Amino acid sequence: MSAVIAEHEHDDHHDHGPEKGFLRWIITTNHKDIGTLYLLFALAMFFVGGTMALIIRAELFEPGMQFVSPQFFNSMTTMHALVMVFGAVMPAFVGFANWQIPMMIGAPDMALPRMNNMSFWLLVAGILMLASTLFMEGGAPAGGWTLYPPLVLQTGAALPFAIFSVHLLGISSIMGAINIIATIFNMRAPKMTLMKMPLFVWTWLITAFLLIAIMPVFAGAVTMLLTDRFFDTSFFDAAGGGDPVLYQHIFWFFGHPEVYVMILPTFGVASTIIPVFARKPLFGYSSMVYATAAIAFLSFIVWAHHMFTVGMPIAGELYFMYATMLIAIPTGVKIFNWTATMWQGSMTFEAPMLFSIAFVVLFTLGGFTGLMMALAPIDFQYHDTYFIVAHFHYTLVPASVFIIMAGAYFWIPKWTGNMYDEKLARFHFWLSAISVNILFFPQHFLGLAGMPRRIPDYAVQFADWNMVSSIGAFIFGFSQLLFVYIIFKTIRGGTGEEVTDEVWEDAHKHGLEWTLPSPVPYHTFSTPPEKIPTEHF
Amino acid sequence: MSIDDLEQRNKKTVRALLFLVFVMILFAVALIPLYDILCEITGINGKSKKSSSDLNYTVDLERTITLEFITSTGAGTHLQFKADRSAIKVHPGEVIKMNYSVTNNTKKRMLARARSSITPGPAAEYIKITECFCFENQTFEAGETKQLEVKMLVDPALPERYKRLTLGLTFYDTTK
Repeated sequence: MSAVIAEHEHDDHHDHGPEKGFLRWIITTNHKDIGTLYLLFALAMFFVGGTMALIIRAELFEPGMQFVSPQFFNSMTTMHALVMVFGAVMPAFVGFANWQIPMMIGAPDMALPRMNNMSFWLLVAGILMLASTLFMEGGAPAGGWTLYPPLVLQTGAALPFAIFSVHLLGISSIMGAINIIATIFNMRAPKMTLMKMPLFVWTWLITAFLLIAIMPVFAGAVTMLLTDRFFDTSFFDAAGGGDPVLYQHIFWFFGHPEVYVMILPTFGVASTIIPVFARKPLFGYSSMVYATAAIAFLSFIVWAHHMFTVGMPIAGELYFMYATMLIAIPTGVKIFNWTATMWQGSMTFEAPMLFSIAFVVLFTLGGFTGLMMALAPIDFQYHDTYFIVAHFHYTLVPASVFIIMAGAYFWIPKWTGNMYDEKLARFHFWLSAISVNILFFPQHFLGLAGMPRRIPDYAVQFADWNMVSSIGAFIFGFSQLLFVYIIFKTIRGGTGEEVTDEVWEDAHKHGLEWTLPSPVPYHTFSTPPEKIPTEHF
Repeated sequence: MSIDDLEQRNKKTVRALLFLVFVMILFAVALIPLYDILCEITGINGKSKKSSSDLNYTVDLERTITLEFITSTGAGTHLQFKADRSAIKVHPGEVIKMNYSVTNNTKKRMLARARSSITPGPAAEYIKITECFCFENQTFEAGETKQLEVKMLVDPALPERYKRLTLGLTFYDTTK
């Protein structure tokens, strides 16, 4: 605690708190302010992307065309994915990283605070540019978020805007990643060795390297789309001797690590929350680190399992099938470690823990369907059906999104010094956990029965389960308004319950951030902490 | 560690990471030729090249394989394009000729280019196309119908497991 006391004295001498007024949020370089900006932006985009999802589910409630044109429907599926991936899930984790990484490793701020500000505002610019395509002649991109040529080249005026927005989002992600790596490498407290870092920091370090490796590749691929369309090149145009399949290879070389960019920080937050509420150290810390690194490495060599039906030679199909199935091993290590952490723990079931347990169960389910699709001969049946839609939504919604909510409930008392309403939060959890299964579980049946994805209308045999799925979607969507209510109520004072420095019982054994006062001061760890928690090691 | 030290270290880290970004951009660009080279070595994408016309094989009368001919046109290419026969039985080593008829259904002169593709991909190297209209651009006057020819041989070294091969040709409008 000596560090904290020293910190207070320091603040008394030259007090520079946040800038007054609205300008604070524009020019801030404080990691906590930028973290808040990222998280609020992600929340807003979660509702934008969610609204698009509800338009999709409303159209699919019954067979036949009800509300929107097929073109607009396809724009909705495309934009829903892009907004959720680049606008909601990734920024939410960057928000957590900004808030937590400096506090977890005992650093005063991020290594490059001004670049931090810039990467946030570039993200906003990128997403606004992407959203502007909705109002353009010819509509927003409607060829799917993978932007496959030749279909995507039929996009109207929106194409160059969509591509430039991808560039902006890529630059923003790369700058964020560089910042995170520089912070972790150079700003750790003296006793915070790499193998003593909380797992959240570890997973973000690896994720940041993934981002640096893949974003330039994606930017390159979409730039080639741009030149194919406007400058008469033929990278992916068969007429000029190019190959559209090449785009798919390049895209998925980016795309597969990209899905791990969304799941690795999820693993990190889960590994932070579960030990606190199980009141035990994390089981198998070093195996968790190595498993994360193994998953990240494997993500680069399995890309073509997204393309089994493209006409690959049998040797290629077999290689990508076995390599993909290999991922189940490090992922299984993680799932067993979380289970072992809970084993014989003195568990309590506050909202963050409920969301984390639901994550472990439902992510495993999504993992199993992933394994099913890794089997090349079986994938021919599942490819581009609702089965794949069910699969990746299970690994993203009750996994990444649930863990983002778990993290929000877990850390918000520390950030604001106010307690959230536990009863309402648990109600929010049960509403979400039940409705998310009503929403996505029937999509497995639809997929197995052969309903294709990205279609606004379908054969009547699919009507029943689509109706169930749509009902689940609307319950899930509107339940999230409760989340917003709880979060804003907490920010504005919460339940009035007193929040201790460690917030959760014995949390100070699990991380440096819980040794700081609640609410956390604007500047923390101006001098590095002398002691670090040793519970895990 | 002093603030200056930290700044130096941060600068070094940023420089190293920017270099990594630069390498990955180069890698993305390099993927284009690498892909072509890989496909050429392994022959996995069914692309075929022009073979020299003085190929001479002993005809293997013992073996018969089915050759299929499929035709298609790219999006927005208004050509009527058909092979005279949809499939023929051939012996490896014999010279095969196939006629195609192409009609320009538009009211304008059209420059078009056909591209070939052989399925299954790994068999592409055993199909020796010696003459093909797909090797160069073709011009079609408005409403004109042309008879075009492909000449090819099947290398008798074709592995036993291939009994049925498909030559696909697709015409693309390349009028500027």
